[in-house]
Amino acid sequence: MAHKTYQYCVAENWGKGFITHDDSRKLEFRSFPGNVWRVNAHNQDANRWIAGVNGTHKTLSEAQAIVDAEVTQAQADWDALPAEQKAPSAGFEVITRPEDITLEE
Amino acid sequence: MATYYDIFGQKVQYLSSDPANLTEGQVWYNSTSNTAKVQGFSTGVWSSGGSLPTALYGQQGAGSTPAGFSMGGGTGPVPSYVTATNTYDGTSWTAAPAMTFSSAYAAACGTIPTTMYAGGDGNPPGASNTYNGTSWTSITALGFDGYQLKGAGNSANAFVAQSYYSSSGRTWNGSSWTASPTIPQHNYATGAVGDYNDASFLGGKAVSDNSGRNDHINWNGSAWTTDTVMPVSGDVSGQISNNAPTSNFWIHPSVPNSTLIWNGSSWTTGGSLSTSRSNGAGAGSTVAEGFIAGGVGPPTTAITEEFVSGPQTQTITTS
Repeated sequence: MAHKTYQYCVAENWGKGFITHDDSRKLEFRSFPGNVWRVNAHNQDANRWIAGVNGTHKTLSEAQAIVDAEVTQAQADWDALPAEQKAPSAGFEVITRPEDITLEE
Repeated sequence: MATYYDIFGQKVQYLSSDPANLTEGQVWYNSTSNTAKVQGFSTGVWSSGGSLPTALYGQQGAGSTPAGFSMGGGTGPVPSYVTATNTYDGTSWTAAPAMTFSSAYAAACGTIPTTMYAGGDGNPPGASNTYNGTSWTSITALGFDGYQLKGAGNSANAFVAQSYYSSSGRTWNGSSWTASPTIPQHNYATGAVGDYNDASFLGGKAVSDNSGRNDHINWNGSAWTTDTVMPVSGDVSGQISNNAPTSNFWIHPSVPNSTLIWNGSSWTTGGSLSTSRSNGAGAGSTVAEGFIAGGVGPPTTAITEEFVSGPQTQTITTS
């Protein structure tokens, strides 16, 4: 069985104190759509952080399903935009169509 | 195995509060919080801060983490641009007076009561504002469309450059703008840091072909010089400690998701944002602090993250 590098949870970022500088020094954080958070697996600091933010553990497939649903909705929202808001003119930046996201184990 | 006593020559202190005048590497046990602590050194990490009232991108940042400023921006093209501004106290954002126009992709610099907001997109071409901590004042226009402009300084003295539509900069002396010589590499979506007479412009995309750039170009008040290029190329879009000195600052390009630190002679790499983004409002007064608020992943986000580097007290845990 493959050794997991990451674990996932759902937690709402309330702002100041959600991730502290001390947390950030010890762990690698990455957020995804749907309040899905990725942190290190097999790590007591990560387990403590998830508990401290009242995070709900998710398996990889559960987390992927949440992210997929959010991305699908964001893509539909982008597709519904008027064409002129999606086509860049010289030098001008536009919000691009959200891309599919594949979570890592 | 060597003990702390063997290495440091003292036993670990058992204290009811954290000591003053800490030395890097010093270890102690705080009996009040029941935590072992060490005085370490951080190359730079990000933590979560208070979220903006509204998700925005293309807005501008000024000030520092304990006294930050976010101005303008939008959720999409020009019709979505806002006049709104917000101040940050290191914990949460509070609405501040609106600018005299809606705008995004401008140059902003200074502290909250000495803010310069120059150029941008969506406002009349070149229109600019200053803020005194209480109200906004319209000032003389730049004389060209200031889309993607970046700048350094404050409302009394500022230098702005790297607009998409002008290959020269402008110096503001409190009452008028003066044109600079042509910049050696004309980019947009850059980051600017420093002061009006000692500024650096970094990265971005070439106006000529939209290719990603790693340029590090300095302005000394009268002439341009080139400096050690960044280790990555591409869009910076204001995600930088813009009020820090040119000799020591942080910058967070859009890609890859990592912070770059300039110490006056070389680049090192610091931590990553937990929410990767571009076109957020970045600011900071030194390399040791700063923030990035909002931006776009996509989608557009309201999230703020705070940066610290240098000496830091850390808790010791097992893992």
